[in-house]
Amino acid sequence: MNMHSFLMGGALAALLGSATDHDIASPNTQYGANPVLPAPHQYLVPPMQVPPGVGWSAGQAPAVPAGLKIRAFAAGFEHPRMVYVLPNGDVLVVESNGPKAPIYRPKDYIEDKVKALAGSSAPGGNRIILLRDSKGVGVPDVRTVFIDHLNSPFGIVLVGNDLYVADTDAILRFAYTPGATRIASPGVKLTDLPAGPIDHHWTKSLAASPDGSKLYVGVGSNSNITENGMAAEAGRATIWEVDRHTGMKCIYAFGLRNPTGVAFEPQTGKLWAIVNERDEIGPNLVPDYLTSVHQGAFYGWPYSYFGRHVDIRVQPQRPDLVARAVPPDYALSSHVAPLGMAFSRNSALPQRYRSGVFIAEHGSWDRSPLNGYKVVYVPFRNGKPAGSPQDVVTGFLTPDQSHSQGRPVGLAFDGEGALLIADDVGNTVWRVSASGG
Amino acid sequence: MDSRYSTIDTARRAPSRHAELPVPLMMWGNIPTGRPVFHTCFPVHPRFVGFGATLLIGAFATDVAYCVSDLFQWENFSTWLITAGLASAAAGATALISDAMRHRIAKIDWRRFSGFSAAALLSILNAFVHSRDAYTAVVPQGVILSGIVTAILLALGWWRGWSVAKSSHSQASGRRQS
Repeated sequence: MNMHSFLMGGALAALLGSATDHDIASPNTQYGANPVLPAPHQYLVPPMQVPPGVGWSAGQAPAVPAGLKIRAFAAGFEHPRMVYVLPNGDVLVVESNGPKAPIYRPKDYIEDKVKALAGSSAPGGNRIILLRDSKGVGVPDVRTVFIDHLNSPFGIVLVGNDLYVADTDAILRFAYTPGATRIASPGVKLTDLPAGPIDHHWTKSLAASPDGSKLYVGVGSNSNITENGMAAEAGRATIWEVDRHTGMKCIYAFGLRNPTGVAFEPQTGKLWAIVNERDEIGPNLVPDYLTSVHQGAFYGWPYSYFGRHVDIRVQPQRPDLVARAVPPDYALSSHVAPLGMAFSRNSALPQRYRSGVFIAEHGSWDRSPLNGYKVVYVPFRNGKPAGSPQDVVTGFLTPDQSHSQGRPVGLAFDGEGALLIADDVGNTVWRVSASGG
Repeated sequence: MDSRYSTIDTARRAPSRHAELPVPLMMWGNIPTGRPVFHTCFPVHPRFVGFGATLLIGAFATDVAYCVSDLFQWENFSTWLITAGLASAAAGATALISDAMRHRIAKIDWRRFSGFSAAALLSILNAFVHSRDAYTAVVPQGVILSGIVTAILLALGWWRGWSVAKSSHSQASGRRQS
């Protein structure tokens, strides 16, 4: 681009307050192993669309296809992010939001305002709520504060009678007694996790290995694309493996920008993750993804994406790392913001939903038109994705896409095999079950 | 300290018609006789223009520092310097309107006005370039823009200061000050 056209185009774009629109290919060109990746752009104002979060009116609910039904399991939460089901069927709801972000640049101040508009800044309860449906009617009749005074918790997993909660700065272990409705004793710190003072991607996702000996923690990057410096990224954009008994940890895989969900595929016992990729280089860049996670593998961030597609915003570059970057298994399309995942084996949903993974796409404002804001199902065959993602729970946006009534985050299957969805704008936990039963 | 601000010295000052007034009050426009004693004849806008120009030139320096070091903090300095420089430019524009309305300047030199305006508009563009994340916030467009802005501001300000008023000297002598 010559200087003249750069200045003219730039001045025009600045005047209009929006970037020039390029032809935006449909998200369905970006599903699976070989997404179509357009050339990256450096914008003056990146494509954005912010649907203000307004919550649900009485009687409204997300939509599901024929064969399924949905209704509110419980409501009135303080920014519910994660759901987890204990062996006795009790449902835990993690109420949480990130710590207050520091203002390092004028842009941080503007992003703060955008987040507030989109309903992402509501204070989290910093606690875990327990719901019990003791009569088995699909409506909880017991509701207690299970664990209080946490620090931006997100991931949660029970191994034996040890309940692990991933706060933003540490993994805590709590002694769980089956049937308990609250845990008053303070947690014991198993290990520290990378946190403040910036803590840009603050969620720490958590899963236990099938044999229960190890924990896996998804730790997001401390920036979009290293704008806070590489020193701020120490230990971040990685999945840590933590020994459950000693708390000793090592990096299991790295270069995963924001691994917001980690889970073991039930048929093969392999570790999978959902990852939020980078922003501001185009409406179709970079696709968020679902991938199996190999020990010691590098998945690109920050130097490259989807294998060896170099991101010039990162200097100095690392061609040695780019050369060994592993392309992820399965693109979910760009800016869908996957935040929750649940493998569906043994669920009580119709047969066509029983051999894959459900993924909650929170949606993002870094794209126009919007993408995500729904729960999709990715079918698996022989432990690998087979086929396009299918929309399962939609209608979180108003029909004109001007507002969001809800945004899905955490997913889990309850004791009866129905899918629970934490909705942090609607402050509701939704329950999706087969419409026959 | 300027003796006008000192109350102790008042008694020793040469007697004047207004000696009975507290000295600071003499600073402000009309006194009871209805005749201005101390007129704010200096235009206000050059103070903001000069301040803003310093900040915007500083952004070029921090952009260059980023280019040679790749240290992200220089880029953060640049974004704040450009933001503050533009805020000062906005204050300067407001002050210029006030200067014109209160006849603190006789005539505007439109060539100088255009030059300062161009520097401000390019800096607005540059603020958007600098809002990008990491390297492309500065290289190459950011540092090019702050370099152009610096060249304009130095060309305008080095010899004739930060006023956009037509120089009375150049009018009187009939030649341009250089």
